[in-house]
This record gives sequence, C-alpha cells and structure tokens, in this order.
Amino acid sequence: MIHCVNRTAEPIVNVNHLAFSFGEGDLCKQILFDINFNVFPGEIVLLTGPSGSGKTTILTLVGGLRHVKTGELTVLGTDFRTASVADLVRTRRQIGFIFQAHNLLDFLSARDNVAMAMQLHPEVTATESRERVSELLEMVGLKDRMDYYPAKLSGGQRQRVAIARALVGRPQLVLADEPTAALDSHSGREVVELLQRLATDHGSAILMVTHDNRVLNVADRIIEMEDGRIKQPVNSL
Amino acid sequence: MRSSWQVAWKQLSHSKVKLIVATAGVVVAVLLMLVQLGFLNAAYDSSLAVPKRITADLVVLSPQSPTFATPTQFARRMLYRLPAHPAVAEVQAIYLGTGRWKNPWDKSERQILVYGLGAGENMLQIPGYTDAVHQLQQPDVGLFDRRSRPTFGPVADSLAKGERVDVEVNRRKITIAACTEIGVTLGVDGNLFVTDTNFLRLFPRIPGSIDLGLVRLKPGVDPAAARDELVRWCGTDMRILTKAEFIAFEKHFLDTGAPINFIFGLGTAVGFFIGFVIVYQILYTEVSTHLPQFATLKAIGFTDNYLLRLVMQESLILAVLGYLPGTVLSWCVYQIAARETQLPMALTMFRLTSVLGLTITMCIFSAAMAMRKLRAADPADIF
Ligand SMILES: Nc1ncnc2c1ncn2[C@@H]1O[C@H](COP(=O)(O)OP(=O)(O)OP(=O)(O)O)[C@@H](O)[C@H]1O
Ligand SMILES: [Mg+2]
Repeated sequence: MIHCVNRTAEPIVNVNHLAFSFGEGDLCKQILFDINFNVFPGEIVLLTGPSGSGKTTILTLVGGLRHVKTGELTVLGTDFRTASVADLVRTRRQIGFIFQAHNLLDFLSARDNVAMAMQLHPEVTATESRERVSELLEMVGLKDRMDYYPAKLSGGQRQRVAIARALVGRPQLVLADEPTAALDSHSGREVVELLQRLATDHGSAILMVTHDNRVLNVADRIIEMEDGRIKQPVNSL
Repeated sequence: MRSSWQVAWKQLSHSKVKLIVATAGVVVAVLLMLVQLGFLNAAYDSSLAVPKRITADLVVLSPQSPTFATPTQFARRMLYRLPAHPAVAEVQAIYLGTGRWKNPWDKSERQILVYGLGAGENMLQIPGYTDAVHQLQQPDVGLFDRRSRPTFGPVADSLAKGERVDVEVNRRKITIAACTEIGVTLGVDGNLFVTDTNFLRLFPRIPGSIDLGLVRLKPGVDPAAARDELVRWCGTDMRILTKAEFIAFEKHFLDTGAPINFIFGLGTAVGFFIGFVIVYQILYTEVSTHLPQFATLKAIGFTDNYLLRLVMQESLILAVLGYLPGTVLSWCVYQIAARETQLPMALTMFRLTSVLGLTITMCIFSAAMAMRKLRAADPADIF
C-alpha cells in the first residue's frame, strides 16, 4: 500500500508550547505541559500513554471543544487562541469525530444517522449526499444494514456507523478516541484498517488515541505521552 | 433527512407510545379549553339573548335590580310619568316572575321564568307572540319557549301532533297555545310568555308594581341625551339606561355577580396546564435521555440553535397533531352539550383560532422549559 504523507505542505494541526489546566485558583490543576507536534495532510498519528496522561484532553483541544488558554494551536488554518465560538463550530464541521461511545441517535436508522451529518454541508446537493451516505455505509460493510436502528446493530456495527458519520463530510482531519476500546480484537482491527483505507483514499489526516498495541503498525507516527508531556517522538516507517 | 423537521418527526414518532401519550395530552388540553370557553361564551350569549331582543331606546329598572332576570319591583306610575316628557313617544311595562311549572307527563316541578307582556305591539320581540295574541288574550293561556330544557316535557312535540297541552303553573291550569324560540341561560331553565292580565292571575302582587320598563323615544332624539334629561327629571328612584348601556349592565352582572368567568376560566387554565405538563414531561425525557447524543451533535458542528429548533419543532408537531382531533372531539361535545342544556354552543372561527393560539403557546412553553436541560449537553465531556 502506498501511503503518501506530504510533510512539505502546511501542517493541518500545529501545536506549539501548548499547556492546559483544569479549574481556577487554588483548585487549578495543570494537565498538559509544553506540548509540541504537527499533523500533516494524509498522516496517521497515534497518541498513546498511560491513563490520565492527558491524551483525551489534547483531542478535545484540537477538536475545538475546549478553549486554548496557553500556547498556540492552529487547526485547519484557524488560530484557536483568537477564534470565536462561531469560528470553532465552523472548524469542527471540517473535522470527523469518532468517540469511544458511538453516541448514535437511537431514533434514526443507520442511514439517517449518517445522513444527518450531511445537514452540516448544505452546499452538497441532496442527490449527492444520498449517494455519499450509501457509499460510505457500503464501505464500512453495512450495505445490508442501512435501515437498521442502532438497537438492532452489534457494537462493532454501531462503531462503523459512527465512522461513516465522521467521514461522510469528507473531513480533512479525523479525531478518534480509542475507537477500538469497545470492540473485540477482530472488529477492532477491522475498524482501524478501515480508517487507514479511508485516510488513504481521501487524504484525510488521522489523530487517534489508542492503548491497543495491535494497531500500532498502521501509524505513520506515534506520540507517547506521560504525565501531560510528550515523552519522545518515535518515527515508524 | 435534509431538514430538522424530519429529524424532529423521527424523534417524536420513534416510540409510538410516547407519541400517543403526548398527542393525547394535547387533545385533552384542546378539548378542555374549547369546551370550557364554549360554555363561558354560551353563558354570555344566552344571558344576553333576551336583552338583545329589546327594540326600545331606553330600559327602566329598579335601582335594586342586579339583573333584569331577578328584578325588584317598582311602581308602574313612575314609568307612566315618562310620556309627559316631549322626547318620549311611548312606554311599556313588563312583568317578570319565577313560576313553578308542573310537568304534566311525569308530574315533576321546575322553575320557569314567566314574562307578562302587553297585548298590543311589544318592544320585546318574541317570535310568534303577535300571531298568537288572540289565543293568549283568553284566560290562562301561554306561549312556551320550545328551547326550554327537556325536563319541562315534550310540549312542542305534543303541540305539533295537534294535541292539547295543559300544564300547571303556580297551581293554576295553563293552556299552551303555541311555541316560540328564545333559549335558556345557566340560571333560567325555561321561558313562558303570557299577557299582563294572565300574568297577574298567576302572580298576585301589590297592584301597580312592575319589573321592567321599556321606552321608545320620538324619532331623531338622541337616546343618551334623553336618558340624561329623564334621570334629572325623575331622580334616582328608577335606573334608566340606553339599550347599549342595558346590555353592558347585564354583561357587567355576569362578569361580577356570577362566578362563571372564574369557573370556566379556571377550566380553560386547567386544560392549558395539563397539556403543558404532559408535553413538557415528554420533551424533557426526550432531551435528557439524549443528552450525550445531543452533545455529540454539538461536537460535530451542530449549533445550539439547531438543537433548540429541534425541540421547538417537536412541540409544534405535537400542537398540530393534538389540535385536529381535539377540535373534532370538541365539536361532538358541543353537539351533545347543546342538546342536553339547550345553550347556544357554537364552535366559532374566532374560538377555534384562539384555542389554536393557546395550544401553540402551551407547546412552546413546554419546549422552552424542556430546552433548559440542553445547556447541560457539553460537547467537551463526550470524548
Ligand atoms: N473535566 C475535567 N475537570 C478536571 N479534571 C479533568 C477533567 N477531565 C480530565 N481531567 C483530568 O485530566 C487528566 C488527564 O485526563 P485525560 O482524560 O486527558 O487523560 P487520558 O490520557 O485520556 O486518560 P485515559 O487513557 O484514562 O482516557 C486526568 O488526571 C483527569 O483527572
Ligand atoms: Mg481518555
């Protein structure tokens, strides 16, 4: 498989001397210290490290779900230090989120859960968005299950619907937090390979938190965290 | 799936039981509001039916009468002084009394309002009175209101079959000559019209005391100006009102003297509240059980406004879903109530639109309350 990462291009995510703490005053607890890394277009970056080391916190910052207080963070060209709430929402629409809990809407079928995300892309015509929804559900292997409600799907199938929902808007960046944690090793492996294939096909960058040693080989780069700091970047190629 | 309306509908209709419960809540609310407002209006319309049949320019009452239907008597000679004034064309005395009607079919006794009218032209328009006046001038003959409650017996039916109807009023045998159509009120179950001579046979009283006076003015005279002058002329022994003032006077009595506003207003409010609580409960549960999903939607780029709109649209869908069957049911209740009570129950366009407005307001309130929970959906907490 030829996987091309363009390291000469502008990075999609640029993290510079980022620090973060929860709480205020006496209760203030610093979680992240001097974080520096980039993610380039098409790159798959894994974030690993012990529990509590701050991996999820990094993802919420990069995803524009928390406000940056110290350091620099630029995602898809938006400077998150100065971005307004509306800017953050606009940037989030270009990011595909995959959560540990799939959080599908139980009252919508698999197809409608994916289609709903297309409401965020009114520029895409109704016909095209219908095609995209079917195409993605086919790619994640749910061709025969499109009209099933989440309650009738297995954990792995639900996670695959969530992946389809994250990717249907053709995001340039995918943020995934332990997408395989709730899955058995076989479906876990499948899901990661699927992500990898989609990244290759659409040139999306992926920043994924994982504890799962079996999936480390898909990464272009692994960032290891410890106590809120990056231990040392290891290049795998 | 291009619009939030579709999402709103799918969320609402996913659980049929919830949808039915919520819709039933709105149906009950619509039904209660329409029926209570219907009764309230019927109470007003029916109580004003007789006052609106007056063709006189001025109406004269005792100052002690709270409403024309429960009058205090006053001296006829005071009314008969008025034609001496150059503005007055003619006057008419009206007698009113509550008699005891014995239903000849089942021997039950009911109270009936008896009107004593003149034998000539009346300033109180009672359809059929003039046509039957020759019979009515016979001793102990009356004209019965066919819209009296059914408990008075099948008087109109018997007359239509050509049967003779003799009843007992105040222990006197009265023959019913014909029927008219006036209508009853919440307080008056039936009406009987007789001539003044026959009235005095039924209600022996101090000679020369009457209950209501009607005054026709000479053409071109302004009623308000004439009223002012006659009041100055006669003093405060009589209450003299223009026709419009008399109707306002009767309305005021209903507003203040009878608790109907309160009773039916409360009924309407209870309907509103029941609908509000049920819709709120359903929407609140929908929002709170879906908080993580809603937070996810926020995380992937849906705005707060989108989610607020979603809840609002769900409430509006419920409003419409409940309103339609609610009005159909109300229409049925109106038919039954009109038959049973003989009150004028009409489902007017105005009332239909007011209740639609109330229903939408009720649902919007419920949605606004349920939405407060949405703020708790923090997209940062879902990773
Ligand atoms: N909302 C919060 N308020 C206060 N402290 C928090 C909050 N969220 C996380 N923390 C703290 O921040 C630290 C890092 O949390 P984070 O969730 O980023 O760790 P993680 O690396 O994702 O761990 P895990 O592998 O267990 O998911 C932890 O010590 C946690 O207690
Ligand atoms: Mg975590």
